[in-house]
Amino acid sequence: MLSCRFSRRSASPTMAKDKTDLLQGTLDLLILKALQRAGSTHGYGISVQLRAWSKEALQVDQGSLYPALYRLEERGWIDATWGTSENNRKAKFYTLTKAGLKQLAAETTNWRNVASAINAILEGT
Amino acid sequence: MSLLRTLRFRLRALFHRGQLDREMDEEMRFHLEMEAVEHARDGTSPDEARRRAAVAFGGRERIREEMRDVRGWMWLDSLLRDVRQSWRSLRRSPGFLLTAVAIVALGIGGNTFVFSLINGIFLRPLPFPHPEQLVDIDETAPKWNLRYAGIHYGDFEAWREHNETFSGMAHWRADEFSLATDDRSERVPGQRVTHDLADVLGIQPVLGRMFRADEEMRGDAKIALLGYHIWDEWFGRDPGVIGRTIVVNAEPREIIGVLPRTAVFPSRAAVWLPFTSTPTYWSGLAIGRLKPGVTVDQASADLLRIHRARISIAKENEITSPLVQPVLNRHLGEGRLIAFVLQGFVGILFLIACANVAGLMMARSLARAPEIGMRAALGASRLQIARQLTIESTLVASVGAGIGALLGHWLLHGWLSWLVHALPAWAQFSPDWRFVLVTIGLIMVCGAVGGMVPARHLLARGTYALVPGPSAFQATHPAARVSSLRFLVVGEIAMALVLLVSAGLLGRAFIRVNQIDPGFRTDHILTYGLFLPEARYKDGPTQLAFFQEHLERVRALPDVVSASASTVLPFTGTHQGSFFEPEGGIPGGPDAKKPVILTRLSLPGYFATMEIPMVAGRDFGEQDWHYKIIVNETLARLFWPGSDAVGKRMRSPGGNGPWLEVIGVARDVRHYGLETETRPGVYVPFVAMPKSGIGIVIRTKVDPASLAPTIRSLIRHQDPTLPIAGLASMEERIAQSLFVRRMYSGMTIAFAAIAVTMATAGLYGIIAYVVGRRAREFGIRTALGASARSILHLVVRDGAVLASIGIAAGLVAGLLAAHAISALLAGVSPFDPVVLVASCATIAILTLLACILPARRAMRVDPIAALRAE
Repeated sequence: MLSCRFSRRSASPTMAKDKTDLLQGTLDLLILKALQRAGSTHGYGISVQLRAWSKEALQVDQGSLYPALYRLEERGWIDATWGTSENNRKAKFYTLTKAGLKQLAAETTNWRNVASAINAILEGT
Repeated sequence: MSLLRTLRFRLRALFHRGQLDREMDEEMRFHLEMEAVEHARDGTSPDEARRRAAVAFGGRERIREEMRDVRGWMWLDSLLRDVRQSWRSLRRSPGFLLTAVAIVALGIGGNTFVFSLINGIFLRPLPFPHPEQLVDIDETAPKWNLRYAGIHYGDFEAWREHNETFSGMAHWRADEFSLATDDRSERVPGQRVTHDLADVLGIQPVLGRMFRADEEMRGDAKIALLGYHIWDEWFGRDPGVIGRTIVVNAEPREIIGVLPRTAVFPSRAAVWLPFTSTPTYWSGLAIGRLKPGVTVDQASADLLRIHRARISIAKENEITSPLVQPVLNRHLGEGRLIAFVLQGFVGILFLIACANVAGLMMARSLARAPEIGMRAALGASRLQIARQLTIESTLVASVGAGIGALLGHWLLHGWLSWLVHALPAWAQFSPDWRFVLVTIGLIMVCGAVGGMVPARHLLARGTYALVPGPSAFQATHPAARVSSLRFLVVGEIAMALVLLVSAGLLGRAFIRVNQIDPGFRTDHILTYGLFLPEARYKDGPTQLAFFQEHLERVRALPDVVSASASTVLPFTGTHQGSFFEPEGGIPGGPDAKKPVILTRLSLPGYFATMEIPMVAGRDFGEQDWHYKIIVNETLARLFWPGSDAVGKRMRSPGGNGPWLEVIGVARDVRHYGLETETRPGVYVPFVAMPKSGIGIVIRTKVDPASLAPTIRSLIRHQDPTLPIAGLASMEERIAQSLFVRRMYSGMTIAFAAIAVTMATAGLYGIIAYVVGRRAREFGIRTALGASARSILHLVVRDGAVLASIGIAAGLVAGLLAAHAISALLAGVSPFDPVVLVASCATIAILTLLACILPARRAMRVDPIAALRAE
């Protein structure tokens, strides 16, 4: 089982590096996709869904998730509103915006290009 | 992604931090609970589930930090944290804080005071639209020895009509008028103006209207515009004032308008009257508004062209030329050097204050070296340590600046009421953006110096050197080898010496000016002006009769020794000029200068009352007009150099006038001021050309001011509606003429005294500190056999070396400064030995004291205690 942790590139040079460092751009892509597939959800819901869809392979570190959500909201790709969850607790719900949808498409294309480029390199002997 | 949205988010992050933090906590809590629920489903107990969830959640604080990082403004958070920490640390050393704040307050207070003055007078633009387009126009005639000759109306009309560079031009003349309503009567300053003055300045009357072109000159409409302050004080801002009558020089005039508050340029005129021509051809000033983009030189050339084109009809236009300059140059030119000197003084005072603060900060940070070293060991970089020191000193500087600004404000308002007649009426002194900018600049300089100097020293050998340990075993404490401290000491001594030398020279100049002989006996003289309205005193004989009767009554008073009168009195700012030619022509031929001659019409007994000695010849015998005149020494030297002027003749140029014979030569009188050059002058008996206005002089037995009420009732008796102008003793007038000089001489001495005190205190502090730190070293020396006296010599010698360097540097700088201000020194040499020796001696003695007192303490150090102490 592959366990990846998403973490922000830290500014302080003395902080230790993690096992698998995925760039924050990829996390943004996954969050946007999650919101497209699941519609309106809260942060916990996103992390659960990502774990489920990746078949437990991807576990999003809360320290990366919430900062990423704030950043995406600031950039206008997702909108946030306070609502009540399924068990009647107050939670912040996120939805994809039109601009976010466009960004998702762009990032998906970008990821595909990068992935095929890397694949092409790895295929060669 | 829009900029607006980002901005909104950032601002929200800045101002609603608390709310964002709460929302973040809420979100985290929700997430944690959901995780706990999930873990509970696995069968664990609620507590265990929560614990597992918390562990899985990770460090909450770290996440919070990450979130805050994304939000931005981290630098602001850490800055605020540093500021709070510095403030706490400063509060723990109240002695240091109070001393440092007091020093900064003094340094900045002086600066805000002087800068407010300079800002209000020189830097702020005039309160008119596009003030940079306004220029002053006058005529200059070097051949007549007149920088400003006044304007001939014909020239003005020609300029106004034919120019291509001005969008408007107006002519005006300052004058004094007797203003009267039913219940009030006063002599006030006023102006005669052409109708376009309001347009040129760009102002509108707040009530009523401005004059029209047909109302001036021959139109001579009997109308007036009121100044705003007169409308306020005399009419209580009554809007119904339009149409009412006001009596000007005994002539009723209709009030047709009220001027706005800004119309106090160039002087605080009480009334504006329509322009009329005067018997003297050249008078008054003009103000013009340049067309956009036109330079002063272009305008000058344009007017010169028109001016010279008129030579065929006005041959004086060969000698006169139009003079165009930015309007403030005309009114402020001489003050600039004084402002520069004052600003220089407070600037140096500020630097001394900064040096003292740096010294204090240095001592404090050296005392805290172990703490700082600990911080370095825990990972603080040099930049961070330097930043913390700078924040502390900037904090001190800010508090000091706040107090200093209040101090400066208080000083300013205290002095303004006293200075008001020496300052231009249109100057505003409230703080504006320039003031704020300068104050912030001063805070930053002080903070930077106070932080960087200790930081530079502390970190010179790397942060490792700060860690407590090895330095404790060094025989000589690092503090003793501090070159920065030495630099501060030398700098303070030098700067204090510069100020002392400059202030001393200015003081000496003031004393010298005070001792200048005005040419007559100045004590116990009362002066005032009487101006008879021509409406009631129509001709010469009537006017003469009035004055003669008045003088007889005055002479009858018991406390009066003698009394007389003249049309222009010294130290009153008045002038009356004419031209004369000696028989045989002016020496030097037709191209020689034909200076204007001050012409005074005097009544009998004038020379005796003023006690002006006769250098040759005699006083007027009778008062009939026998074409006999008296000249002053300057005129005698000018017209008849090398020979006796008595018996010679002169007359008005042109060859048609009668010959005037010189019967006496009077001692020169400093008419225009103690420092101003005397012009050639002539005294003519009043009967020759009686005038309606005259200045009375009375020599009294008692204090002149005590006679004032008697004089007032005497005038009221003779003519109840006649106001008296300028009732004052001659000594008061002379003191008034010296007012500006007295003010800045006093200020510079005060600033120099504060600076020297501060520098001495700073010196003492630094030397005492260094001596204190070297206690160990002295202990060792004593243990090794050094005598107490040799320790004393050690300290004093170190101090003396620094003092010598400081004094040498200060002397050089001081001489340069003295040379720069030599225009203000009224003949005192910049190398004046008395001032130089006294200043150097004062500094040397103070420095010696600052060394000896701590040194004596050093002598008494017990070696055993010192060696054990560390």
